[in-house]
Amino acid sequence: MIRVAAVGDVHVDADVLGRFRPALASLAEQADVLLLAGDLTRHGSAAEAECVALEFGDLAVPVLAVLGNHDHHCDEPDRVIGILTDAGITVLEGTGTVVNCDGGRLGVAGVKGFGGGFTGRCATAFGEPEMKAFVRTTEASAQSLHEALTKLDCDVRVALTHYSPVPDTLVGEPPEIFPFLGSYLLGQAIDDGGADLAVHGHAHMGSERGRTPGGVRVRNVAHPVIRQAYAVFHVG
Amino acid sequence: MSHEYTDAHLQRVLAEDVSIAELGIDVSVGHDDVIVLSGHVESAERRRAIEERVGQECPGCRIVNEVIVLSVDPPNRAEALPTGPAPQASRERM
Repeated sequence: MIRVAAVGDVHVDADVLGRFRPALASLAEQADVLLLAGDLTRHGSAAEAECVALEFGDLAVPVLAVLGNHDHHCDEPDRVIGILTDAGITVLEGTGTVVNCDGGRLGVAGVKGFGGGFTGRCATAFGEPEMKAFVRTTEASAQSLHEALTKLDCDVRVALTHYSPVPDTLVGEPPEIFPFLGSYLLGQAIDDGGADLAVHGHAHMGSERGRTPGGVRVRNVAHPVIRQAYAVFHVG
Repeated sequence: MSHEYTDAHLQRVLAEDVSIAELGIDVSVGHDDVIVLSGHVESAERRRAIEERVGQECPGCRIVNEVIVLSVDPPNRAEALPTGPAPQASRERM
């Protein structure tokens, strides 16, 4: 059994510094790894990334992250990634990594993901170039997630995204905005990539639990959904 | 401006004003010019800033601030997740 802690949408800035540290001090007693499911900052500025590095760096367990839409607002995601990486946080985007845990090898593949909606109510790459670009962004993200998942050599395989792969975990959000919260293409990549668990954030008013059409368990760990410092899953 | 347009305007202000940047705040403007704010934020400063910003946009309105500052307590339980497909019957919703 592998112990996975996860939280998303922590939106760290200077006013949040130190809030999570007391709970994180005992993290190693509860988990083998911490996953951060995007929206680590408010606007994706370098100063906020430094705050994330202080808040979630130097922990007793490996920290793996994906960025979210907030982390792109300042148009300098590479700078954010650099600061987090320097703090020892592994940022995944179409990539994966394997962590050796007492309970086995945990493989995590991550992408930010993007929107588009879900089966029967999804956007299509047709018409204006802006619409085609929107859908193709999600297609490319899902493809890179699938490739990263299939490359993992591990005992337990986890998909980490910011956007949701299923509508189940969006229940509670207005249905009109589901296409801005996730895409079935991510779910398809998770099913085809053989994941054992999918973890995402983004949907603050969504629900905690869902599953893909292929039966992969999905957990929405957005901080406003789990309402604690992090959730812990015992996988396997 | 109709209340629906005020709702939409305020939600865009709370998202697009970089000093706020909150996309998860629900804004409800009533016919009695009472504005109810709800949602979750990471600090008491952000809760106050949201109320002040809405007050700047709608002077004279009464603001009911129901925004909650999120807990950062550690979890007191873990969820056991077996590997293999989740059963269809237990469509896993809260």
